[in-house]
Amino acid sequence: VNYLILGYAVGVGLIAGYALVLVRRLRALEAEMGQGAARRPDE
Amino acid sequence: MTNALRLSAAGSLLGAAVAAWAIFVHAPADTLQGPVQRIFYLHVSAAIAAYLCFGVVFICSLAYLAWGSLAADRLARAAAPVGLLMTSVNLLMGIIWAKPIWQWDPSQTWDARFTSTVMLWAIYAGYLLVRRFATPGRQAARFAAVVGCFGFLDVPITYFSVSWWRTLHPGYVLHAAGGPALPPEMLQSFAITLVAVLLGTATLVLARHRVEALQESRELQVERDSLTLKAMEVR
Repeated sequence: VNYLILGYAVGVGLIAGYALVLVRRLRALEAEMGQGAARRPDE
Repeated sequence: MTNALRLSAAGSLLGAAVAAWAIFVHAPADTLQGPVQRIFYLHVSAAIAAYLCFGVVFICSLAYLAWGSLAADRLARAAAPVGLLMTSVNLLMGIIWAKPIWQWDPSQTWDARFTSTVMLWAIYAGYLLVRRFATPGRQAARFAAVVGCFGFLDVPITYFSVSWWRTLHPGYVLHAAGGPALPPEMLQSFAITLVAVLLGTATLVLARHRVEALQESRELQVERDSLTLKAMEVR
């Protein structure tokens, strides 16, 4: 059972970790692009 | 985040919940190996997802080399890291599964499937390194496309390694002679897990594709802004 838990903790953890990193990067990029678009007409 | 991405993410979460039920509740315990055999469901599904991602990289790399398609290059850039992630999941879960069953130590006993999968991992890690460190632009894309085409050769080698070299890794379970060597409940659980993993993989590729597209637009915008600034300075 310990090896089963360890296996799924590693497998699911890797996938979930990568998904979280992607979501954070996506949100940061979208926010940056949104700000850039909002700023540009004033300039 | 786009609506398609949100929908795909929601479907993946639902798929993960159903797969967890299938793996831990619906599938019977293996009489020989005990609970640790349940690692099989995600271990094999992750390998199939990785092969499909590398297949996408291969087709897109060919398209880039043949027609210089930037859209194909972007899709290859999105699929490669997800394939590498799934290969890592497959490798690590396999090592953890083999430890209690065969007392396996990869440094002591050679295994063809393990070695060819490590090679696959190294090839696509190399692909990402080429992307990162080659001179940006067309040259990096061309180098990476060549690695993406030749790297795919290791996928059939990895798949057939269990029949070409009879080492520690078990032979085909799903494509065994005379049909899948699994009871129906295990086969159903595997099918459910595979669908969930493929859905999750597609979502990750979609998200990565969106990140790549946004990064491209940002770089383009920065370039355009600096050109405008220079034009204003000249005036």
